[in-house]
Amino acid sequence: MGSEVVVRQTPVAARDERAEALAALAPSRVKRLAAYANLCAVGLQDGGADLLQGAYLRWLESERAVEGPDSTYRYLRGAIKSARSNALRHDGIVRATFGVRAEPDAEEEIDPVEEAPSGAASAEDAAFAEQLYQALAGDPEVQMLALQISQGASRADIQQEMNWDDHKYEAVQKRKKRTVAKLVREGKI
Amino acid sequence: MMPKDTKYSPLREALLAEVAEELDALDGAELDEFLVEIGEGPDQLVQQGDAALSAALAARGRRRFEDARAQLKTRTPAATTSIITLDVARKRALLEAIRVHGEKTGHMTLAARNRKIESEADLDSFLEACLKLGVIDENGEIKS
Repeated sequence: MGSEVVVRQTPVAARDERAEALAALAPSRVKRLAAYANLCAVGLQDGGADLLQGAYLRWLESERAVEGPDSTYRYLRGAIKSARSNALRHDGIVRATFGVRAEPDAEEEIDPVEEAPSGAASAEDAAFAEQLYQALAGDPEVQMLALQISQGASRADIQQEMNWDDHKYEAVQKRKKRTVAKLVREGKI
Repeated sequence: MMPKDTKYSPLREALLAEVAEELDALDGAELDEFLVEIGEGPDQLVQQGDAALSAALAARGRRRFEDARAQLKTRTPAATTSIITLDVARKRALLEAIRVHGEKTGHMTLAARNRKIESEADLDSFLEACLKLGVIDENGEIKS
């Protein structure tokens, strides 16, 4: 991550330490947070701007000590992720599976959804995997990688099966991330 | 938009986490290139961040204002009532005590010293002001 320190001109002047910490976030970090919020907003009622604003507000009202840009950035990213998880629960999409609403800790980035047992979610995973497989048809290598990962194959298994060395695996994995991000952003998966 | 028949999927969340990792691994021109590739405008994202910051600061300001107003609504009437319900002799004694205390400490303003107390309403008004300023407490005792 970048270590640049840039204080941007904001429409509302920073008045305190917490606001100053946000105003001092490097542009590269702001880009990452905004892009991540936009991706996390797909399928939710709130937009990416809402998720980002909510994360900023949560930081402003937090009593956690201001430690530095790395800590602030991690907190904000965790808050965006938490907002997505909670919105999914709120919409009733996972309520039947997970029951009581649980608040993840933004700073620790621990999301109860990730540690919760699968059940109905596995059925959704199967449907999503099929949808993903079709959406990746334009790049057969990425398609095969996604398929094998969705079936729980390890990296070693995939490399052996596909006869890929480390360099090749990393290259296809990189393409997969970009393609997935694009498909999510376009609302196709 | 996400297809309507697609619900929560751990696989989708895992893929989003991978994309987040990729975002963190990139910087400078590489980051911008990635963002453009997935359909984002790097400059627009910075603007989005600035707008979110402004909106969050405004929202915090509104919340603080609402909290302060709510606190004032719940606290002031009760405190004022307790002062007003003191008998007149006690109020006058308190007024005198405030004057003496003010002169002793030098904290009382000229305006307060010169204020005319001609009626019980004037007295109530003055004591309410002292309560709000923290000169006396809700029980009519002078704060040190």
